[in-house]
Amino acid sequence: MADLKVDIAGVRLRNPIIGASGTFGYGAEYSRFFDLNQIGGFVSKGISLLPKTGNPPPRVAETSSGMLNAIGLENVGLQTFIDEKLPAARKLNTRLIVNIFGNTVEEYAEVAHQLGLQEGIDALELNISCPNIKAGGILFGTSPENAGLVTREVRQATDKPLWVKLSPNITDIVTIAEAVVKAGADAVSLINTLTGMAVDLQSRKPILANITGGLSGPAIKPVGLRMVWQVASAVDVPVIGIGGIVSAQDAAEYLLVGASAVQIGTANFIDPAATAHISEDLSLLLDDLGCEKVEDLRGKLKLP
Amino acid sequence: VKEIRTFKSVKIEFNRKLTSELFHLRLAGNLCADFSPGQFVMIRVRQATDPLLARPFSLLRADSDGFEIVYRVVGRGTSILADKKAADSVWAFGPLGHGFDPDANSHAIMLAGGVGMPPLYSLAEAMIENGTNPKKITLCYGACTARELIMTEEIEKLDVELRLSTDDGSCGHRGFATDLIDDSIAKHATGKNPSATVYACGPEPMMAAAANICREKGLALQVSLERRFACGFGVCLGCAVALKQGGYARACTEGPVFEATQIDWKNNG
Repeated sequence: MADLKVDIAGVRLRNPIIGASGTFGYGAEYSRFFDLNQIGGFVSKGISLLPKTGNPPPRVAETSSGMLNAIGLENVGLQTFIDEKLPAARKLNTRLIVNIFGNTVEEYAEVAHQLGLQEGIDALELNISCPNIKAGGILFGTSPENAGLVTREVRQATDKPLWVKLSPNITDIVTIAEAVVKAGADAVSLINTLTGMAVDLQSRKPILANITGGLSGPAIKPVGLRMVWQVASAVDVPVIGIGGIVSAQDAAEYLLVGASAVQIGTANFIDPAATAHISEDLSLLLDDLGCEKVEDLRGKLKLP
Repeated sequence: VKEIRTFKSVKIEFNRKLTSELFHLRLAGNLCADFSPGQFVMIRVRQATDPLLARPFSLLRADSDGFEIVYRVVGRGTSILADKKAADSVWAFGPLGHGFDPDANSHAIMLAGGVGMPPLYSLAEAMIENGTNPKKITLCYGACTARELIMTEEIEKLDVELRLSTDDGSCGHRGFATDLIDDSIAKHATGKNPSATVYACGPEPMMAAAANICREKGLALQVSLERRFACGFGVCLGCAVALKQGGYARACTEGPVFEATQIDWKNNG
């Protein structure tokens, strides 16, 4: 059996399969489906300083091999997360990464500082890329200067390993990745959802109450692969691949183009045990590919 | 062995066409044997990723050998489901959600609009099984037109007070099923101690109208709401139901059945 252990900037995972933020609740929701010690870890729902109620319905729409969502960063807020969600999450015997966002640089830093004082959190993931709410970070995620600024402030607010989650809704993702790495990011995760929309011809209305939403699912895998390949070729920190992964083959393709680990998002909705299934299958797939460990595949893309 | 609970492949026993758009599906197995009325099951029509998401369906009936739903063909997922034949497989996960909380001590007035009928049929059947006199149940069932009033023979076998309506007057009362509950409330919940509980499932405007009627009459109303959602088990947060107190509840977890007084009827989809 191939050895699936990976090290993401000092955070050791038993395998490279991670549940993605926004699809994995606060972790404990999945313990009724499988034992979370079967996966590498998970990223919690994005946490803000104050609770957020989210957007009006409809919040989701299905598209070809994908789905749009405009949840609106609904979350319980920092204090309730610490008091009520974190105690259960840290008992799950898997790596816990907490996704954070804010309306201002100060809010990002405050949330990072408070979470930095908590035990049982292995890393923070900075959301500078949620496309649904102006204040939710897209302003930080679309310019290298702002992305660097918020990363630097958060870096100074906490000692926790810091991952920065990047948006694909930009012209050149490499310049953003380079800016956050320069500002102190220990790893980058990409891609977040692609902005899209769906409309109803009969009513002539958008399907989502928010009009636009974030596209995820298998439809976006080619975009994710391309961007992970570009970023992994350009930066020296670990890259965590995200976008349309539903199988071990998909996960292995991300490793091949340079990802050190991957996150599973939408697939959790169609199979609550997707992360466990993919973890198990990946070990067998690496055997088939003649790889003894993840490094034997990572970044080994043969270019023409 | 580490247990993994998720979608299971289940075989179709029958997939009967009731009208051009309505189908009655029975799936084999004991997956939903312990369901309570108002709960739902998620069904994926293919294992491939297009269509991607499972669809939620209210349960009509379930036992240790199988479970049944009635569905309307409204899009790609249900169109593919309608083409399936006996012995074909689909992938199912359930039962899920919070169902009805029946009050055995008051007359039950059930309001079913169109394809909202199945959970109320299962509620009536369960209440009767648990000892409620069928005469203490009134089922007000409305549809657009006579042929859309389905399974009426089976409903009649329950021996409840059945009142039908159609928008076009082709069967029963001409008008909405909400007209019928006004009447039923007058008949069964009069006097100083009105003792009726209303249970509703159907188009949201119908349930909002029922909420107005029940608020005026001081009667409890439980509504089963429908939402677009991705997961069915509480994590996608897609199925938001706006609450009167502010914020949202999840149709898949806190619902799909809610007390009507909880709902902010103006700000829902």
